[in-house]
Amino acid sequence: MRRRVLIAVAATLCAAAALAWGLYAGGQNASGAGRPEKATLILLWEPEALFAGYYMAVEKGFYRDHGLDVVILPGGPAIDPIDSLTSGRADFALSFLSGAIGAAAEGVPLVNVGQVVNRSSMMIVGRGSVIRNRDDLDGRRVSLWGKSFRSAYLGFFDTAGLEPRIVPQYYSVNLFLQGGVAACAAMEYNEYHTILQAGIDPDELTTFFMRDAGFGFPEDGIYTLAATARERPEVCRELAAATLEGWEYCRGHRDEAVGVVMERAAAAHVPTNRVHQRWMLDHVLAAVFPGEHDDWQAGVLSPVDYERTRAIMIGEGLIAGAPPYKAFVAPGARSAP
Amino acid sequence: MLRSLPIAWRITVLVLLGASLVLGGVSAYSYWAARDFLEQQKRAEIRATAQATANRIETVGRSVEKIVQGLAFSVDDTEPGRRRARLLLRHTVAGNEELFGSAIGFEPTVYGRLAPYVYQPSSIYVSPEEQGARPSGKLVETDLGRGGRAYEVGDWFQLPVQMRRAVWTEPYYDAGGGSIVMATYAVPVHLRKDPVPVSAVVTGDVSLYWLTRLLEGLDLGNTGYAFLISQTGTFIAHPDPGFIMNESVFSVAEARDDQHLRAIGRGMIAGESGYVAFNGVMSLAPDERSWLAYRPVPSTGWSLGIVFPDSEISADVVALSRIQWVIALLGITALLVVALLIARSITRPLRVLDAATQALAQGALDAPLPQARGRDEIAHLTASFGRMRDDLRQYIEELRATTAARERIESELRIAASIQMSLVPRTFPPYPRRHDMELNALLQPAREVGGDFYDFFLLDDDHLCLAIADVSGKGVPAALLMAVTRSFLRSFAREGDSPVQVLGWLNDELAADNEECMFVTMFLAVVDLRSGAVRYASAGHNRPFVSGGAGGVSQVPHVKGMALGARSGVVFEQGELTLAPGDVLYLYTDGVSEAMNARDEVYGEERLGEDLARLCAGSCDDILQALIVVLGEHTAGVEQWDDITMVAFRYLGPQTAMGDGAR
Repeated sequence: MRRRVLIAVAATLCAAAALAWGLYAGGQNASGAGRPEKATLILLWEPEALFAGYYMAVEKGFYRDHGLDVVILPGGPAIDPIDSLTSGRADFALSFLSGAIGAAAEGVPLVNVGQVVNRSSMMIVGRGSVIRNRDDLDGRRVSLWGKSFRSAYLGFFDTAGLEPRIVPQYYSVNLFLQGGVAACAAMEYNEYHTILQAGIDPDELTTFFMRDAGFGFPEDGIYTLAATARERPEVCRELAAATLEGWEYCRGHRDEAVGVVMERAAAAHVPTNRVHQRWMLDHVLAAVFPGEHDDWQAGVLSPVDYERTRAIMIGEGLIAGAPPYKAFVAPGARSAP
Repeated sequence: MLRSLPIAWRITVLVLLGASLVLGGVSAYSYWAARDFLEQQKRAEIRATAQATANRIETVGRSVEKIVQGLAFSVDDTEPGRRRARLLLRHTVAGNEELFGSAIGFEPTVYGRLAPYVYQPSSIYVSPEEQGARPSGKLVETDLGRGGRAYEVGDWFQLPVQMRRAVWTEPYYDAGGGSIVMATYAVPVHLRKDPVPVSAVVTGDVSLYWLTRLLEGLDLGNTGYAFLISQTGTFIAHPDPGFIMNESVFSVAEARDDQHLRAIGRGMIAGESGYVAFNGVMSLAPDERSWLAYRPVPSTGWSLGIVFPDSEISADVVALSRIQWVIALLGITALLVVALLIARSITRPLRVLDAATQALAQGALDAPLPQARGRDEIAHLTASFGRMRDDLRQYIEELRATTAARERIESELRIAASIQMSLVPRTFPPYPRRHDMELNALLQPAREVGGDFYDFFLLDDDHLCLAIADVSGKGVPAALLMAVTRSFLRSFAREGDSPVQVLGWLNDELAADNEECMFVTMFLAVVDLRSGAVRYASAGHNRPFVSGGAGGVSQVPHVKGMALGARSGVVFEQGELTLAPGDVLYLYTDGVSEAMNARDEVYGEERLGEDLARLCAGSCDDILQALIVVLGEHTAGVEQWDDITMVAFRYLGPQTAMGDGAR
C-alpha cells in the first residue's frame, strides 16, 4: 500500500515533469516566432552604466529578437540578487564571481550562464598624504564592501602580510572623502571616478589594482538556479547571447547608451551625472571585451579564472570548497575546450 | 581728393572729422571710465552679496547644529524610550523652521533596528515633484528601521559612528524616509550603559529645496544666480534642480574639460574665498563669461557661489554707451547741417566774388563786383578787388595816353634823325675826279638824336673846307640848331678869309638869339690843296689828330676858342700846319673819345692816337671802319649814348696835269 502510494506519487511526478517538459519544449519551439518566453533578471545595483548592455538589449529589442520577454529588476543596497534567485523573485541574477562561488559553497544550487565582466576593476584608493605604498595600509582604517566583494581584497592583504583595520563600506565613499578612513575599496569605473569628481586629483591618490596583484577576479556574471538551467537551457543561452549583443551595441553607440542609463537613473532617483556614466561605460566596456593581450573570451567564464578564484577563496579560508567548473557553469556557457 | 571739393564742403568735412574725433575720444574715455566704475561697484556688490548669503547659510547651519546637539544632549541624558524620543523629535521639528526632519537612529546591534523619525512635508521643504500625491503640512512620524530597513548603511548613520564625531552628510535622496533631497547633520551619542562606543545617531535634516528657495530669494539682477556646493563639490542648491546632487563643480569641469573651473572648485571646497572670472555653471557646456564670488560656509563645509554674467555687469555700461552713441550720432548730424549752412554762408560772398573776378579776368572791367558788407576778410578782398579793378582801368587809360605821347616823340625823333642825316654829305668818294686828296666821313647817330655833324666843301679849286661840330643837347632842337649852324657855316665860309673869321661870325650869329643857351663846339680847317698848308680854328672842340713825319700821330696844336653861341664877340686863335702828301688829318667828336665800356672806362684820346698810328697807313675808309670795330670792342654791348662822328682826310700832293676841280 505504502509502496503503491509511492509509485503513484512517482508516476504522478513523472507525468507532471513530462507535462512540464512538453510545455517547455512547446514554448521553445515557439521562441522567435510565437509568444516570447518570460524571464526576469535582477541586477547587482541601482541603474548605472555598469548595466548599459542589459538596458540596450531591452531598448533595442535584442531579447525580443531572441524570443525572450525580459523584465529587468534593479538591485540596491538592501537587495541580494542571489537571495532573489532562491526566493524565486527572479529567474536570473547578476553576481560577482566571488559572491557566486561563496553562495555555491554554502549550497545555493546556482550556475553561471554567461560571464559579462571578465576583467577586474577592483582597487583600493588611498589618500596619497597617508598611503604612499602598499605597506602603509597596514594598521590603517580601510573601508571594504560586504563579504561577497571582499575575497580579492582579503587575498591581497594576506599575501602582502597586511592587517588593516577594516571598516564597513556601503554605497558611498563619503567616509573616505570626509577623512574617516585612510583608504577605501573602489571600482575603477565608479568610485574611483567619484573620488576624482569630488575634486581630488589623481596625483593626490595612491591606487592598488587587484588585477595587478593577481587578485583580478571576474566580476559580473549571469546566474540562475541549476534547475532553471536544466529545464530552460535555450532561455539561458539566448539571454546570454542577447545580453552580449546589447553590450556590442553600447560599444558602438556610447552616447545613446549613456542617455538611456541617465533616464533610468533619474527615474530611480539615483543621483549621478553624464560624465560619470560615460566614464563608467568606457571602463566597463574595456572589462567586457578583451583587449589584445587578454586570453579570455567575451561573455564566457574561463576555467582558469574560475579555478584561480576558487583556489584563492579556499586558501583564504572564505570557503571550505566549491563545485568544479563543469558543475558551476551551465553547459551552453562553458568555454570551448 | 579733399582739395577738389568746394571750400564749404571742405570746411564741413574737416569740422565734422575733428568733431567726430573729439567726440569719439570723449565717448571712448567715458565708456571705459564708466565701465571701470560700474564694474568695481558691481564687484563690491557681488562680494557683499556673497558674504551676506554665506553668512545666512552659516546661520542656518549653526542653528541646525545647535538644535541637533541639544537634542543629542537630551537623548544622552535621559536614555529615552521610544515614546519620549518621538515627543522630543516632534517638539524639535515643529519648533524650528530650518529643520525638515529629525531622527534618532539607535545602534541596531544593541537596540535592533529602531530609528524614530519625524518630518514636516510642507511645501516650503518639498518640491512639487517630490510632493507628488502626498498630503502636505502635518508632521509625519515614522521609523526608518521599519520592516528591517538597514538604515545603518546610510552616511547619516555610518559616518558619525565610524568617525565618532558630528558630520554634515553629502546631499542625498532619502528614499523611504522624508523622500526629498536633503543634507543631514548627524551627531553620535554614547549612552553610558552601552558596550559600543556609539549608541545612537541624532540627526537634523535640511531640505535642499528650502535652501535653494532661500537663495532664489536673493536679488541678483536679471541673470545673476547663486549656488551652493557641498564638501565634495556637489551642488546642494542651484537654479537648475537637475544639477542638485547630480552634478558637481568637478563634473561640469570634466564635461567641459575646463581645468580652470576644477581649480576654482578645489579652492571652494578647501574653504577659500575668491572672486574670479569663469564661464558659469548653468549648463554642462561653457556658459557666457561671468564673474564668480565665492565664500565658505564654515559650519557645514559648504561653499557658496554668486555668479554674475559679464553681460549683466556691462549691461548698464552698454545702455549708457548706446545713449552716448545715439547722442553723438544726432549731434554729428546736426553739426553736419549747421556746419554746412555756416560754411555756405561764409563762402557765399566768396563765390559771388569768384564769379565777378572770372568776368574781370576775361576783360570785362565794367562787370559789377558784389556789394561788400561788414569788415571781414572777404569785404577787404572785395574792396581790394574793386581798387585793383579801378587802378587797372586808370592804368590802362594812362597807358593809352602815354603810348600815344611816346609814339609822337618817336616820330619826332625819326624826323630829327632824318634831318640830321640829310644835312651831311654821304657820297664817298665826294670828288672822284680829284687825285690830290682822299676823304671819308662817318656819322653814327645814337638812339636819341644827337647834334653832331660834319661837312666839307671846296671853297674854290684849291681850297677845301673841313668842319666837324657837336651841338649841345639832343633831339629836335639840337637837330634844328645843327641845321642852322650848317647853313651859316656854308654861307660864311665862302665869305670869310679865314677859319677864325668864320667861327667869329658863326658865334655872333648863334649867340644873338640864344634863349635856350644852346651851344656848338666846332673844328674848322681850310686846306690849301696845292701846298698842303692847313689853317684851322677850334670852338672848344676836341683836337684832331694828324699823322705825319716819321709815321707818328699827334694832335694838332692847341688853339684858343670857346664853344659857339655861349656869348658873342669871342675871339678865336688860328692854328696852322702843313700836310705832306700822304698825311692824314683825323677829326672826331667826343662820341669817339668818350665812348664808355661797361666798367665806365672811356676809350680816351691816348688810345685813339695809338690806334690811329697803327691804322693810318690804310685808306680813309679802312681807317674809319677799323676804328668803328675797335670802338665796338671797347664798348662791348653797352648802348651807344652819343653820336659817333669821324672825318678822315688824306692829302695826296698837288694835283698834276689837267687838274680840273670837282665841279
